[in-house]
Amino acid sequence: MQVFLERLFDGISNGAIYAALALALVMVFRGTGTINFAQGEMALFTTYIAWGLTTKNIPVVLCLLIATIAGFTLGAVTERVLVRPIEKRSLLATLIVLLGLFLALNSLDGILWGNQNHSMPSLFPNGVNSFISVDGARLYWANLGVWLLVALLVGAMFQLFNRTRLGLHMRATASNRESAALAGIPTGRILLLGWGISAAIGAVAGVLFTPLNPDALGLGEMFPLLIYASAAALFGGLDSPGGAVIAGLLIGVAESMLSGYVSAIGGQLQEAIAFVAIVMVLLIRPQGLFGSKEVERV
Amino acid sequence: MRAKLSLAGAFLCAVSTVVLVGGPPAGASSSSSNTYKISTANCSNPAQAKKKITGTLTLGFSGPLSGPIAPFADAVVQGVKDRFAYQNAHGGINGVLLAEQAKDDQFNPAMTKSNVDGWIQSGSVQAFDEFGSGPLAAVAEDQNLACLPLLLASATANEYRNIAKYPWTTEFLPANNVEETAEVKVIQASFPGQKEITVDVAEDQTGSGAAYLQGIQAAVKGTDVKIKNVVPFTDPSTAAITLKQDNADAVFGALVVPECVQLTEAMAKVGYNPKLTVQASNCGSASLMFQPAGAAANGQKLVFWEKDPGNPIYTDDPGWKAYLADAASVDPGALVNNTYYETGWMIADMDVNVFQTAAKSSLGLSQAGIMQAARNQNYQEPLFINGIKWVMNSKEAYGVMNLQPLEYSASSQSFKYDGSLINTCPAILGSSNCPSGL
Amino acid sequence: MTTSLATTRQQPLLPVRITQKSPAHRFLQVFGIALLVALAIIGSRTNSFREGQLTQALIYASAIAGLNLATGYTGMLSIGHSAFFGIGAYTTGILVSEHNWEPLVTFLPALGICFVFGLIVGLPALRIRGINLALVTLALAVAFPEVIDRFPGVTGGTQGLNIPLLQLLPPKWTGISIADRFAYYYWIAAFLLALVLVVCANMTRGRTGLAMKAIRDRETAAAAVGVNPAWAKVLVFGVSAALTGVAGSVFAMYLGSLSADASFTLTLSITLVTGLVIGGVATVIGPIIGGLAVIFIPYWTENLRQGETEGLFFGVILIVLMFVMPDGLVGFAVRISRHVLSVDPQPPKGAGAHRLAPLVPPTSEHHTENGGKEMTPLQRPTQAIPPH
Repeated sequence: MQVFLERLFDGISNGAIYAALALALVMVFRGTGTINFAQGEMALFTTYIAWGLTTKNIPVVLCLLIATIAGFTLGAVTERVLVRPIEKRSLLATLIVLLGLFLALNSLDGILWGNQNHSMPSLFPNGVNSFISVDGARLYWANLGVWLLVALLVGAMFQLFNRTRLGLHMRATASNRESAALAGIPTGRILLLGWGISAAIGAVAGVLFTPLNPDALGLGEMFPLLIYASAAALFGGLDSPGGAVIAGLLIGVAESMLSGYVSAIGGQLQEAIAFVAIVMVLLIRPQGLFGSKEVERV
Repeated sequence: MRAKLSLAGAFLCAVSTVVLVGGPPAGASSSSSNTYKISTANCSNPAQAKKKITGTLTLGFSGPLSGPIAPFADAVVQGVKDRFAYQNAHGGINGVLLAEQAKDDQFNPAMTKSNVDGWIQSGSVQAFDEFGSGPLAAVAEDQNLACLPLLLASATANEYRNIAKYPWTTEFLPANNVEETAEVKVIQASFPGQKEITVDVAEDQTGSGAAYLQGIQAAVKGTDVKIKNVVPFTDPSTAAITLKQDNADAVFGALVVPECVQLTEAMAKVGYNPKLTVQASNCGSASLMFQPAGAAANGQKLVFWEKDPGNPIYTDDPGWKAYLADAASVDPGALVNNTYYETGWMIADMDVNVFQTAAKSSLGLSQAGIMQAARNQNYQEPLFINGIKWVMNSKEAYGVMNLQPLEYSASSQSFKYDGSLINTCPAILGSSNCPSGL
Repeated sequence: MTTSLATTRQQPLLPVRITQKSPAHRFLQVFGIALLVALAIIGSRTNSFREGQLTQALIYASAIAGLNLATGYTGMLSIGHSAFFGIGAYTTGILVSEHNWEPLVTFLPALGICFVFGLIVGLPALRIRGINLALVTLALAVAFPEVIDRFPGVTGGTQGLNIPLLQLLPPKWTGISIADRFAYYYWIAAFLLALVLVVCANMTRGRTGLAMKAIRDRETAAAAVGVNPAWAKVLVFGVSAALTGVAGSVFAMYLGSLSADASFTLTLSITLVTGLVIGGVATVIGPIIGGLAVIFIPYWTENLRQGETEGLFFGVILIVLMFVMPDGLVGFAVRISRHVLSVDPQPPKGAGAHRLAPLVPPTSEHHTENGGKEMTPLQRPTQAIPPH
């Protein structure tokens, strides 16, 4: 039982981050109709900024705040400067530009902060003894804190979408940009906000997740996370924020359980399995678990 | 969380090659049957291979100068440069100056091949060094055909110790079977009298981990040590949970930097303290791989060859003091306490020994002369743990065959010697093939 | 656009107009081919190091040409072609080193296996578009090294697969000595590239080419006029994968040592896309320029702080090119050249030829043109985005 719980906790921690990143991906997709390939690298960039600040002895909470603002800015600027002019041309062009951003950001991280791995301090007490015991299994404060913060974040996003005017405008823009514009909604600003918030979510996810393992901050950190988050977003339905979150958690727990209990996979085929999951989803139910079927007008 | 730093690990592996061969003094008993004679008959350009080098001797270095291992690689390159600079300030090799030409290959074998082909084509280097088994595989045949010496490659693959097939290649790192044989002995010594000792292996997911695993699987054959489970080390916490569940007598970290310290911390986090943890030699840096884990690393063991920087044991050691003085004479700010810088200095020091031997030989300071000297090198490297010597001859290409067991002490934050030197030669080559004193 | 009004006035000097399939056109085509052949011969006469670099460039050019079919002509972004390249390479590697096949013969199974894998990966394309397929290819690129590592018995796993040089040497009948073996690999790469380009040129002409472009530009409309987008996409993906795969086979011969984690990762996929974009999507010669670019640009910038600088450089290039030169170097050159030379389609035969306006513009080869301003593939919208 103890081992099961430990694997479960591990899975929920990972799942929370996949959920947050998936939520960010879905937000962008709903607004702009494209997957932000560079989502992971934006998160990494802002995490590096946060880490750099912690080495100057700035309190972690403040670093998180700064990173979030930096993330928002990065997302908004990307939308305005890179995505909006290009999306008129074609989807392919947009995807390529985002791919370029992915590459450029990752390399920039290496140039600015060097290429060895670093450990990131946590917002929560992260010592060897900072845990509570659940039926013998250890639940570390850092992990619990991550769960709570992500839950808060997701909750806040839902409030935003469903209970505020801004959220209404965002949903309208996502559903039909043209009609929304005609109805007087400043769609340009809405899209800008959407990308900004999405990148900010990524920043928070990065700063929360990186301290969970020592030496986790490195150039390749966000890679696998992007894959899992994309799988989660697809699985849940690219236009369903709720679906993305649920799928993210499911994938996190499933990964932990499979790695632990199915020895044929062990820890080795994780991304391959995500790949198979993505393909299966797309074949059987392209709109994901909770998404809506896309109707294309000629 | 995936940690793919096999490069750093292999690098440290490269660094920590110490050969202990308390063999006979060079020359005294190197009977002609043990001396290797290089042949230039199959070279693509025999004249080039025999040409005496004048003016400057350039050593090429192809390694990951960008990417995660770059800081380590940069330090090695610097160590080589400084040792060469020191030699140049003291007459070079009979007046021939030494230079280094470092090229980045991003640990990509295709790029290593490009670099080496470029050197072969241009003739701008007379010998080279490289980093990693993968890149070595891509260039081994080309460099042997061209008779361009590859001296002290940072790799462990035994395939390239085949003297007949790869006469122009030597490897610096101890072979995996050498290291693992010693580690199995350490495990056995830690459980005296116990009938069967179980070991869980935490395996790094790159080629280095696979090589370590093969090494230890071979080394436990016929012993009372049994491998209970092999745990892939993709995510430290997941691996730690599995290790705890298995609860073997010992945990062996077939890992590369920085996974070793991640293993220790992850096990501590799940509340698992194995009776014995053995770390791989490439993690042999007390300050980087043990001290950050604090008390959790106390009592962990490894086998090692070199004098690790910052260890108080060596404060009065003549070899260590000479190193500090010589490096400072070249550059007062030299990173003498950086393990990788030290490795670079060590490799260059061994190269200098080879060059000097070659210059005195009948083949002179030529590519052929250098290779012949390298294949017969018998040298007490001052930065190796005392008693560990480097030996190569026509019968064996292992270089280092003796290793010192170490134990980490959290209170002193450094390694202590844990017993006497382990001689792996009888187990690997059979006692009849081990020269006296070995 | 072309003939009727202009004939009543004096023709301007430029652009020079020639008709498709006329003797003048044919002459230009032959001249172009002869030029390429001459360049290939010049390339082979350089020193063996340069020849090696050119060989790599030619291999990448073939891989990029394969990618071009799926991404350039049909609009299906794939960042997973590194996996097909790898499958081809490992097919050759395993057949040669473990089953002693003759290297050149392994190209056929490599083609076949990669074609099948391409079909499989393209299957999701039956039901989805654009982004989703791109995500599938991303996951493929990341999963491929893992799968290779998982089966060390067959692939050598993380320690890699080495093909002994002896088995890769030029066969006796070529008369090339072991010292000149670089020339052998060079010509294999060159011949393969020629074949690949011929296949691409033929596929993108005529009905298939029309179908591909229809899918890329207006998929639903294409379906409405009888093009079956689903199967066309899957087939194109299969061929695209096959061509990139066989380039991987040559790579295996050239390098002799395979390591999935080092050589066949997402980085390679991105490199191929970068080369495609630099050279020019939906052009026939674009891939050649792309292949040269991805080999020589890093080489020339070697002395700057490499690795990261290279990544930053290529990332920025991708972005800038999309804004400034979406049709790549070759596309740009072709557009410029249209001011100098324009190849008009043959006048339609018989009456009633003008009754049905084509739904998509007539096929254009990379150096033919219908006189009008043709939007480049990356400029045509694939989904209606209202201005805001």
